[in-house]
Amino acid sequence: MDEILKVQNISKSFPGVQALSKVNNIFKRGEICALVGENGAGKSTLVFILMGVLRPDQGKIFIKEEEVNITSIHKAKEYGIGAVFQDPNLINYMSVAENIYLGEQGRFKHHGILSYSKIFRAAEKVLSDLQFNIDVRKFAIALSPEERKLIEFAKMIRCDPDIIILDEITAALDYESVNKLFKIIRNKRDEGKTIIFISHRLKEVFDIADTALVLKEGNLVEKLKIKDVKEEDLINLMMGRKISEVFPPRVSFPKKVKETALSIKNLSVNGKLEKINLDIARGEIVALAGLRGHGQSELLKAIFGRIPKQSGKIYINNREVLIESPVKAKKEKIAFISNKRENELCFTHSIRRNIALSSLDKRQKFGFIMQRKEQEEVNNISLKMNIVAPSLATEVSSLSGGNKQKVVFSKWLLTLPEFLLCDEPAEGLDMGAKSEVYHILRKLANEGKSILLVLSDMIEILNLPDRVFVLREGKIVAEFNLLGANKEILEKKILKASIGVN
Amino acid sequence: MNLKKFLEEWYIYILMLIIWIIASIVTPYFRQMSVFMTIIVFSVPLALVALGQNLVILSGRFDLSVGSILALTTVIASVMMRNNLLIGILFPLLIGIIIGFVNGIAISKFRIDSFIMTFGMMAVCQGIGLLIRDYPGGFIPMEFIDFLLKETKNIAWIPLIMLIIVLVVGEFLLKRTNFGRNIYAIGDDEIIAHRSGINVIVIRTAVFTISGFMSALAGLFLCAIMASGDANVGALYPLDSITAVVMGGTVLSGGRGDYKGTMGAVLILTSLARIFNLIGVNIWFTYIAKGLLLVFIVTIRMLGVREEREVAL
Repeated sequence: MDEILKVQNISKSFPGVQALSKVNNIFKRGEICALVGENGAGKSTLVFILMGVLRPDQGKIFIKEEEVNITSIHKAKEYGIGAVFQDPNLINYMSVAENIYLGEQGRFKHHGILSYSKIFRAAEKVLSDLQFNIDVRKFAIALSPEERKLIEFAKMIRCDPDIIILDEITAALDYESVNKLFKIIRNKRDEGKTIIFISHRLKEVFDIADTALVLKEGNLVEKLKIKDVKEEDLINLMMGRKISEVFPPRVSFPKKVKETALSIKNLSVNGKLEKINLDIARGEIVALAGLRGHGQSELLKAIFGRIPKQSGKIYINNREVLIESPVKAKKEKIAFISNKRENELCFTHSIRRNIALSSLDKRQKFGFIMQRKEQEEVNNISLKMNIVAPSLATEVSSLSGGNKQKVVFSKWLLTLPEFLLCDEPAEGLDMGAKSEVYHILRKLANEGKSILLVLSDMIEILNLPDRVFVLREGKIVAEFNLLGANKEILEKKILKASIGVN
Repeated sequence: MNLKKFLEEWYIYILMLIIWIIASIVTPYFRQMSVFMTIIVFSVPLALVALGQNLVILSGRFDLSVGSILALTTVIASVMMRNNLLIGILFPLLIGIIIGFVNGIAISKFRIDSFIMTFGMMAVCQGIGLLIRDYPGGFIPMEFIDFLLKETKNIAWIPLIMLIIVLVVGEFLLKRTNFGRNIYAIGDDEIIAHRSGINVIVIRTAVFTISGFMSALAGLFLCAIMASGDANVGALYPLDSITAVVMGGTVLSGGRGDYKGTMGAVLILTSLARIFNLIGVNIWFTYIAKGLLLVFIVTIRMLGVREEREVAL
């Protein structure tokens, strides 16, 4: 095996964060190398640097032992690097075929005019070689998230790059497509290509990778041969601390407190959810697990009135409630914290304004804001949540991810909610902030609030909630009680339920 | 006090002072109280319209119908004031509110683009105005004109007080009320505001309704200045009010800004017209000056923003 790509002393910093510091590695031909590490460990930053999206602060990149300066995606392609990014990169109102040949439509001229039949035929050939069954005439906007990923993969693979980078490509894919994809990836490896693979699913890493680079807070902490490591060791390496330190202990309640607080009966959402029944007790943390995109987020959104419900009823303390908008949900003391902090905050506004926003009507006299009371309440909650910022007048855009998340929590806690719906509350945070979020959630539960979470990280699923529901294709397929359960057995059960095999 | 912060807050008034000082050096006439009073009086209609426009822009939309609502108001008032002064005042205000409300419902509930909706409304109101009165004219009672414009001790008290009240109300509304906070939130991101449990439709409708009301109020004031009704009088108001709002530091896409800056910009815009008039320069130069000044101010501000952006990247 010989060297194809070498990174030397690559560093990159953003305001307040060292995203990568002095990363060195040699990638070889015919190698599938997994980049593993928490969100924010620097995996995507490395991808962006290799693809010329970001410029490193220092360090060198060598391709085939020749120093290169990758200044744009275009340049990266010329050097034989291709990537599927985490974020979607298709043009919505162009056909699949045009997307696949984007920028090179000029090759399909017929008497000087773009020939659609030619471009469709070429694209069909690309997809049939990969055994993807997708209509090339469709507009990209009509594709499912899964199909979009596959098309992006096809678009990248068509250029026949020597180095293939896949950043969380499997997140949107189901079991079958993942297998199909892995077959292609293995073939490419055997052809002598190099694949850099990022996934949060450790199982996939063990399945496909030959080597793994463990990144932590921007540092390359370890390079491993996959066949030499055990799963637990890798988890410990990634987290850098023991699970019992990260997660707060569960408290078992006296029976009386454990009464049903929120109850959902036969809830359906068109094409997304089918007859969901679940109860949450006071002081309980319940998690929705399963592969991503199987209706978990939609369930939270439907409860909060963000998407319309086709049928079903919601009961709060045995009283039926109609929630068709967030305004109504807020009145019923429900709070919603979504997984994307950028979708929760007014970024150009101050911390104080953001925290006060959802609970303005709690501190008003005839529509006027009671300034002192607001100041006081915002101050208290930010101290309680341990928000670190120069002052409350600081714009939220300048805060770190963890602090942004705490602002979101503060904002909703001031509405004095009884029910918290959180979609991946700790996603994208560093370990310290994650741990803080877990402790906040447990504390709220101990205060008697009911919490419904969407989680996909198996470590979180096994350690944070009291009960877990597994969703597959919009249906609840399993329910597990976590109190006192054997984690290893449970993990296998949850995985099996998610994938749908016995 | 942080100088940069001070300049960011008050640059428009500093600019206003500079323009006034230069003008009073260039032409001695500018030093007279009467010129100052003319500026005050002519600032009132634009200040009123610009308050409505400011709310609309802060909420992330446009209102192009302000000018023709204003013009329609002058026409209706010039017809109705002849019989009953009180009804002649209240009815045009009601019309302004109704038109603003229709704009608001169409834009918030039916999600019609505000540019299209108010553009259409602009044409409709203009048309109705011209149907009622295709030549300037009509009757505005002297007592109404006197009440608004009479000067005692060389000072036009009512316009001056009106400007001060509008300034205080505008600032207070935006900074100290739930309504104001909600406008900022909607302007920053409507979806986030919705998810935060804010009733976006109600707030948006209210904003456009207020804009309609303010335009009608401006129309009544303009009636007194012109002593007649004119269906064509509003042509410049949409652009002038947007100019004033943007010059005053409100971001065109919404979510950031205030009213005191807008008020400063209104005073500058009205001053420019007076100054060119006094120097005896062709009046059309005002347009050129307005345009250059707007682009100049926004350019200076963008330079500051770009610095911040680069750090963020």
